Amino acid sequence: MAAGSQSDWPLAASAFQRFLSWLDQGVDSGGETYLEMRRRLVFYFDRKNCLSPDDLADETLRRVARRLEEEGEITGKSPAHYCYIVASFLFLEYQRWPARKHVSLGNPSEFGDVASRLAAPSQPDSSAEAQTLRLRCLEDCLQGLGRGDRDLIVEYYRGEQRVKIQRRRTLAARLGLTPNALSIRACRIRAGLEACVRTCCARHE
Amino acid sequence: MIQPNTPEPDDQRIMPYLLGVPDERLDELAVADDNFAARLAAAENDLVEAYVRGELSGESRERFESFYLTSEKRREKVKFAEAFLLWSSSIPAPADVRRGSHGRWPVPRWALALAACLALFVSGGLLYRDRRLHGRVAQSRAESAIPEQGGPKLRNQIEAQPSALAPRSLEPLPDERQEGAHRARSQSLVALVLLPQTRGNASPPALRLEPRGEEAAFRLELESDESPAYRVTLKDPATNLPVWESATLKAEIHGGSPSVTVSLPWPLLKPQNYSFELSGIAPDGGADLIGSYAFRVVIR
Repeated sequence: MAAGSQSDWPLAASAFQRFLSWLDQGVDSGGETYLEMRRRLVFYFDRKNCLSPDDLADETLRRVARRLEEEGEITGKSPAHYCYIVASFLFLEYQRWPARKHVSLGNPSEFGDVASRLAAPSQPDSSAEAQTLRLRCLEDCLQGLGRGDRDLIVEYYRGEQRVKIQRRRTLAARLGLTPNALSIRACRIRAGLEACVRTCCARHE
Repeated sequence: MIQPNTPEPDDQRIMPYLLGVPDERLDELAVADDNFAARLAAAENDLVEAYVRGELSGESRERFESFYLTSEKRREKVKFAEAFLLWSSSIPAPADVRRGSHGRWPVPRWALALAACLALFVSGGLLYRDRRLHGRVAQSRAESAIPEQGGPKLRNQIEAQPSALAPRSLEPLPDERQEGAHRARSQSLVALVLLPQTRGNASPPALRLEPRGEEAAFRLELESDESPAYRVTLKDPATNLPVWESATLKAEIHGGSPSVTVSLPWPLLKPQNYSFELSGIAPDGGADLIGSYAFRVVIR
């Protein structure tokens, strides 16, 4: 881990549970809030083209959890906003790290040449086998969805531009949802599918 | 999580943000605001869908390719979208499925195989910076992508093209010939004969595609067959960047003239101008540019 990292500090299970509860703000989400926050942090660091957004997101959460453990409470900011503040400081820190330390966030061999990593995708993924595998995994993951979700996700993304917009309006009306609620529901189903396909592909590679 | 008092940013700010325009306020909302995070995720999915469907154009498409595709995670979303689009294109509408009695979606395996082949080419469009990878993609395509009935059908269609197309001219194909090409088109293929580009102001010939479901075949006519092998690179004239590259190809004789035939999947082509660059490949692997072939894509 790079300079300034606190990831080597062990976080007790009880402290982690406390952290989850703090994120949930009194409503037990079964870890969903933690996962959602992690997803947002990964997006934050990835959008800034950081080399290891997953590691930076985890480091952010570790720092917040550590602070909570040390202070006993964090007041004045919502958990999400506090996570954002810590992430933004970590990003400033990240920008000051020498390039060789950027790649030291995870397994150094994972990163290799920085330029090629930024410019080119991983090669095995481009093969016909990988594409076929992705499609098969997608089919399997879709089978794992309930009928309603499966119909919804297919219909939500079917069609092009104006046709799609009209279709979504009709779909929302049929399901008795506002367009915004439909969009959130479709997004959650899609996120679940993406994760399922990713896991399935990794399992079969 | 927080619900800020300030009004939420409108959609006009979200798209540039997703395409890399810095916006600290949106950075904050993307992490700290539930509603905005959900809107952003939905907008990102729609953006990726639009790219995969070829609905982005101009600066949006340029920024998508120069910013969005630089991240492995984001490319992964594009690959998922490609797979999802291909899969959903191969099934009947959900309403039809609901009327049926099957518990599983009736996805024929051949459709998956075809979709996999098409996906291979879609990836080729995304990975234009990696020429070596393109070579592998094209090679795989040459080995397996054309459906069994596609090869001979494609050949027949190309041979059905008028053989005396204003030779060595940049004039667009006459409308009736373009229509002829369409009449010759099967459900999955559309073909166009291209001549080497010369100086002139005439607009390039048009390839009219259905929004999806077609494979576009091109026969590039040669002045003479002087190379043992050829390679074709599809370029976007606006950026001069390669979009796709073929495997090594051999010239064939059609109507007494040598030509090289290539075919592309529809998702690779957007409604814009393109040019093929044809290079001769020497036995030592060296490549010499032989000529350019311009055309434009029109989505019907």
